[in-house]
Amino acid sequence: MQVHLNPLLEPGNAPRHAAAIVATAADISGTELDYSPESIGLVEDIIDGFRDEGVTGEEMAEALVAFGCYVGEILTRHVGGAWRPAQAAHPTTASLVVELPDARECHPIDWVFRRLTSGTDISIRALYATAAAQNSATDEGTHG
Amino acid sequence: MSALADDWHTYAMYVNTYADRRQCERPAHRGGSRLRAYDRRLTHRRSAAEVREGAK
Repeated sequence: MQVHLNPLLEPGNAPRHAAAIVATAADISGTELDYSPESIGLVEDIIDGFRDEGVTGEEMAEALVAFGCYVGEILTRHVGGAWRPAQAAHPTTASLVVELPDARECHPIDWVFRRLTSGTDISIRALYATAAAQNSATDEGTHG
Repeated sequence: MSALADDWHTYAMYVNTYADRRQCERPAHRGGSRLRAYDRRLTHRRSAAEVREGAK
């Protein structure tokens, strides 16, 4: 399978992929993705629509990677942390992760793929909420 | 070689793993017109960006 992204899937380019999918979602779905945690629900709705159409992995790479970058950008903006390469390349995990301030890794690109694979059994909102809550608890423990 | 030099080879394996798993879980059928529209639009945006880069 050929997958081409420009810019490449590198930590510094994740925001550009997120911005591209924001513009695309507005054009195609009429959905306003505003980088708020609440907008993750809109992403889930779009992914569920893909799933309902029966898309295959061959068809899904570019847009889903971009949606994963969007969810990761919500993490970095609202929870903190930064994009970085995954520690070890593995065929079942994405090559980019978000490292939270407490050093935990989040895999928002994987979250999006898993949502497509498993439907509502995988809640991206819940995964985000867990990451945000645990990070908040760590902050309180550190600073309060 | 940078850690990400072969990122798309890795990613292709990643995507295909999910594709194989899904084909086991669900009956295969053609679909995804909406997703194709997304990919086409992203491709169009990428091409436009490349033209802009080339014009600089």
